[in-house]
Amino acid sequence: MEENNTNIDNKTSQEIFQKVKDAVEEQKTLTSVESIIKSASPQFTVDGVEYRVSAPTYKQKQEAYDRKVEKFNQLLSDDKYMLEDVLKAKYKAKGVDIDRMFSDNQYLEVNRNNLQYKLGELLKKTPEDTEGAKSLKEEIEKIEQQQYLLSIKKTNLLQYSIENQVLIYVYQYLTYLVTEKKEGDKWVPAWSSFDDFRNSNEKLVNTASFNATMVIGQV
Amino acid sequence: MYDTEKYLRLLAKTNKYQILYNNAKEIGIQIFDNKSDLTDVQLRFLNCLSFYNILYTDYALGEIEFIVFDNNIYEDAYHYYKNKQRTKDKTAKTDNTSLHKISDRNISQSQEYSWVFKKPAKRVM
Repeated sequence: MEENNTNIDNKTSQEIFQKVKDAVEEQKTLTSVESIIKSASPQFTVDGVEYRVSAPTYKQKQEAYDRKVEKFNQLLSDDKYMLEDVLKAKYKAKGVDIDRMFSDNQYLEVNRNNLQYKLGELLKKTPEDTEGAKSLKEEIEKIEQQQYLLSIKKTNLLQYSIENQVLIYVYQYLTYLVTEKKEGDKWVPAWSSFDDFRNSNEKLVNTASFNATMVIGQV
Repeated sequence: MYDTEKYLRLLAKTNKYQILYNNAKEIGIQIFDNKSDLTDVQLRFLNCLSFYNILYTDYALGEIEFIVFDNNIYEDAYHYYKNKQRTKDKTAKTDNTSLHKISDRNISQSQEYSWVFKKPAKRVM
């Protein structure tokens, strides 16, 4: 009996510890997002070195665009890589219809919108119907889960397309261009060359890429 | 890294940022360190601020109950419903206005050409 009580106590204290740990982690992330929002050039520290990313200048955008064209042509002349349409046709021949996934997703989107409208109407007109709201919420969650899985599947299947490879390359190149590190009082380019960037430590590259994406958005 | 959208919403929902947003609209207080050239995440955050500002205003006006703020799905659903309703109202208004326009034109046209069909003045015998 006593042993049982001790087990329950241990479990409860472990749960409490986990909850506190999660809350601290959540607060840290919130503070980090807040600092990214505040500035046009968010700063971060990796291995004791301060870094920052800024929006690309016109010249940098132009440079990235030129590299994009170069990369696209390079991959196009390499038989290893395929354009998205070619890849889709190959998948279709093997029984995987990516265009169908797209239309399935659109169908799910329409369903989700209809449920959202119903739920919104319910919340406005009969907010006391909490059970009705819960049930609609669950239906929406199910659809969102289906959409998420579909999107992951589609992204995974098309990740080797030329278009996707070029997109990854452009983001990497822009990250390399817009990241600076603090040396004394001055901000200097974080890497001396694109190769230097590619050989850099993973933690730094990932953090810089994340911050750069926050600043740049969609290319 | 992490789900940025989740944290943008959490921050936008706070009193601190809602007060800042209202003050930014009314007296031009700055929300960010930079005044122009907003970054992508700053634009997304402004969207979230506006989204919650609409919800809080509706709550203050008694349009909705606090249950809407229970979770993101309720918030999104109410916002979606409200937008759809607004579009419906706008369409209805436009239809009414165009009807008025047509009827106004008809009136003015009939006045413009009324001399053609003018009734002959009664002859005084």
